[in-house]
Amino acid sequence: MFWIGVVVFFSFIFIGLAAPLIAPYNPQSIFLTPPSQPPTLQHLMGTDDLGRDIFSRVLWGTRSSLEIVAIGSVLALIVGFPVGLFSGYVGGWIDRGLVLVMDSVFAFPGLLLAAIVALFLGKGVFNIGIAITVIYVPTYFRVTRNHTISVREETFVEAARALGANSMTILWSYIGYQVLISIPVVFSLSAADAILTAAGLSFLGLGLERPAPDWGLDLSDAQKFLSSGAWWSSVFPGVMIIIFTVGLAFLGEGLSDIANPLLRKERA
Amino acid sequence: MTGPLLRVQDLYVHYSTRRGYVRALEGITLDAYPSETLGIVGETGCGKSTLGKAILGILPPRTRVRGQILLADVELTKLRREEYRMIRGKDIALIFQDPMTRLNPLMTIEDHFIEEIQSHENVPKNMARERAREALVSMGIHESRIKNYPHEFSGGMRQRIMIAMALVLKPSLLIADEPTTSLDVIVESQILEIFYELKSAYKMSLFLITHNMGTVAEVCDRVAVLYAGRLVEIGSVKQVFHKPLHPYTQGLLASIIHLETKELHSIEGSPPDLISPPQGCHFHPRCKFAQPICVEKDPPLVEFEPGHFAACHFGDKFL
Amino acid sequence: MEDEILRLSDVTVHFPVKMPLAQRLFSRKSVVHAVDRVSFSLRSGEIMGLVGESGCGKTTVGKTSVRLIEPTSGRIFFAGHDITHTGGEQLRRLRKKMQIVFQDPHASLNPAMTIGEAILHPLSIHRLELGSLELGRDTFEQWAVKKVLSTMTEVGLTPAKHLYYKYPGDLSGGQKQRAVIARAIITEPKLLIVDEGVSMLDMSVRAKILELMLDLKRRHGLTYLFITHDLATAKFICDRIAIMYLGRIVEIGLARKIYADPKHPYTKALLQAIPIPDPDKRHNKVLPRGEVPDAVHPPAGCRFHPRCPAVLATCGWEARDFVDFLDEHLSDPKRAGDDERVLGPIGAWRAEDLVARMEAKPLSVERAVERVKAVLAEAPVAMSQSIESVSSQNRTVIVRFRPPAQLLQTTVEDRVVECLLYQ
Repeated sequence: MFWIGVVVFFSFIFIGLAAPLIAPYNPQSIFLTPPSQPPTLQHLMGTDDLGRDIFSRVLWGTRSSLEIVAIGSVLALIVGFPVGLFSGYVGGWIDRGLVLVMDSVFAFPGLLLAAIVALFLGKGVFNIGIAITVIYVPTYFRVTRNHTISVREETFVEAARALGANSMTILWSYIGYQVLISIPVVFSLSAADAILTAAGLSFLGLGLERPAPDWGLDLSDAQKFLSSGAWWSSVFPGVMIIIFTVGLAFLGEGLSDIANPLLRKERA
Repeated sequence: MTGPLLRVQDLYVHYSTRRGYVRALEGITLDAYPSETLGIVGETGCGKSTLGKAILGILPPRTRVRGQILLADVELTKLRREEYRMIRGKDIALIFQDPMTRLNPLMTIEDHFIEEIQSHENVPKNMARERAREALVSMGIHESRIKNYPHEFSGGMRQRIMIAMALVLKPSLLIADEPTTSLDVIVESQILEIFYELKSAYKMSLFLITHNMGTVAEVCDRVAVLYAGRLVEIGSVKQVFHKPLHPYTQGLLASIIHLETKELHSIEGSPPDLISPPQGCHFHPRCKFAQPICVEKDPPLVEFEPGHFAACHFGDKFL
Repeated sequence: MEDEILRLSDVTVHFPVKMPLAQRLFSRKSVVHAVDRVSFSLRSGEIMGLVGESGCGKTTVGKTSVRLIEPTSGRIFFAGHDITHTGGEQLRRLRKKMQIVFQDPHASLNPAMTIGEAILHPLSIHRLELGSLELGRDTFEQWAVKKVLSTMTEVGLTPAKHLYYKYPGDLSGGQKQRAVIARAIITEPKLLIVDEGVSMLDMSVRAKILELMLDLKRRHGLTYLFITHDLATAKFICDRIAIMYLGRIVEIGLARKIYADPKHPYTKALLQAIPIPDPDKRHNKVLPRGEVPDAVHPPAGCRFHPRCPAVLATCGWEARDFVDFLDEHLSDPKRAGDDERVLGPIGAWRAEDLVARMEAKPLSVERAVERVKAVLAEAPVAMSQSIESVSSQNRTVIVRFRPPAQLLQTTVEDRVVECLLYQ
């Protein structure tokens, strides 16, 4: 399972980076061929209602998904990890307050919250990235905080205090290092979810501006033509979303399986 | 019955790990008799827990087992899972170091007993309840506490409950794996007293697995010393304590710190890696009497005096 | 010169019992009486043993002495200075001089740091306090590494250069404990608290670590507070010992005197309970009944009184003891007979300090009083002697105890005991 995830993950990164080179057509060129053509050798995934090559759009769409997820997840990590570390370490009222705030954000249905944030910020890759960040900060916070609380009680941390180490040293060298092991897992799993959320936002019209190539956006546009039998314009973007999401989820699960024995072995 | 209750013959247990096979037990042969307490002693990694688990058939999957374990002529290693399950609890019972691992925090003590009894015998609930009550009271626990949950008891009491549960089906063999290691010395003494009375009251055999020689001297009739997966010495407690024939046993006894200790002794070096143990006698790298033959030949278990065996090429020198 | 390195003066440590917020609002504040007014002092160069079973508070005393735990009240003196309230930078700097070695060598080392890094760590923590005199021509790093290597060699972690780069997971239990000791002594402390330093090691390894500790003491003039539950080890290594029970020191003095002739009944019980590794010396033991009680509501008077084989009437008998005894009595149908009806259920009894009360069923108050007296006739003599009266008021049966004698610390034959037998 882990290896499937790794393969998917790296393939998609490759696709995203290489899109300008691999894509046969400019994704925004309209009326290359008669519109709404089913898949042919020239257009592997067919064309949409504006005559754009879906295959090229799908490949370029990978880029925007990656960008959004990268911005969103990385920012969420940068915010959530230190705050979680701090909160778990100090405990008391500060911790309880932060947990309350984070849990409230967490309790919000992700897509709804992202939509609200996106409404305020407007469209564009960066803004959607921020919207994603907001939803996922609580996840990073939670995992980090909980792990910090358990590591905080370990004997070697107490020993560090006895040596005279100050809090910063303890937080980074002792606790932080241990907690870091859980992060890749959270990253993969939240990235998987982020893809879906980003696609959802675009689907709702809150994501990227047309005519940017984006899976969610294309899915949304393609809806209208389903009834006329043009299945290719919705299936392909949809399939990409699914594969990437599932791949990332597998990666996350696989990492988790690896990380757990590592944690246990290090504690033993 | 005067013959042995349990016969372990040439038992090999190898655990499968990523780095290779861990030779946890090699060629273990010993007998246990009814109404006797046999101490199985050794330090970290010697294989004593593995021996207990092997007898009970609870080794992890993919473990290689060779040899025979006979319980009153029933070949345990050849049993199917279901058959082994029936024997577990009823003919052989096990007590762990930490009772909490075996007690379900969501079930009352009474429920534990009833489940234990009913999974082995066809007994109506009220009879099971009655036997549970009796067992608890015999361990010195108020019957009013039968409806309490495990976490409501102290460590010592939980261990008594474990013992009571182990005994309720009247097994012929009880295996206790480090039962008092995590208990305080006064509570430990109380539990050891219980063990001492057990064999006469229940005519049961007890395997006491421990690293504490003091405990062995208090409670056991015979003792088997394990080192790096091998049986290095076995005999009556008096024989082994007063005239240890194997250098490891000698070192172990010398390193015990007790109230009359005047000098400190230890054994140089550390136990070998069980994935690639030393050739010949596993103890030779740390033995001050080692000779070339010790590296070349595995020392066989030899009866140097009646009932007293040791696996050392020079055992007779220590008689 | 025999100066005093550590002194604890009436140190008390109480921990709040963890309760959910709602429960806390409705019940009285409960605390765990981990340590109650403990006092002792350590002279330079001596090894003092702090001995007792789990829950007696010895680990708490050890940690409080180095301010890892804050005392609830009392004072701590280190080398004559009151360090009870030192904080911040001053406390951090103090840590150089007093170190602690924990019980579990496997858990005391950061799995992410190599042995060399771990032992070097205290040096970098305190590096600002190093003068140019110590560093000489080297940079800090050069000096520190040299010091680590020489300390490693000193504690027997050889070959030092090779083991420097190993992770804790690669070492054996004995080696890990040596690393922990190296880390503790590298800042040249004066006081070393050893909390069960050898309990988790195999017997054949313990002696070596104990020898190391004695060796280091001689060479560096260290003072040890040796915390353990193992009386045999304590006898061998300690100059003086203090026996603790449920947060109090019950006997303290020269080790050889106490072992030769223990005065406190608990000390006697502990000594008796130790298994002797000689099959010819099996003896019948007189063990105290029951187990160590709950530290949230410790027994009144002398905390050992409910279990003491030599208990007197004035040792602290209270209502709870009566209710416990009655509970035992009622649980045994053979003894209880009819009493369950008159005196039970046990939940009907309320025990408050010296008075136990029960609301009797109508028309059976007199009978209840009678039965209580009969039950008391079977109770330990000391308990029944400490009862002032058994009476009734309206429908309530009242059992009243006499207040206990005041428990003082008395000096008996070169040691201090806290026991009414010697007052």
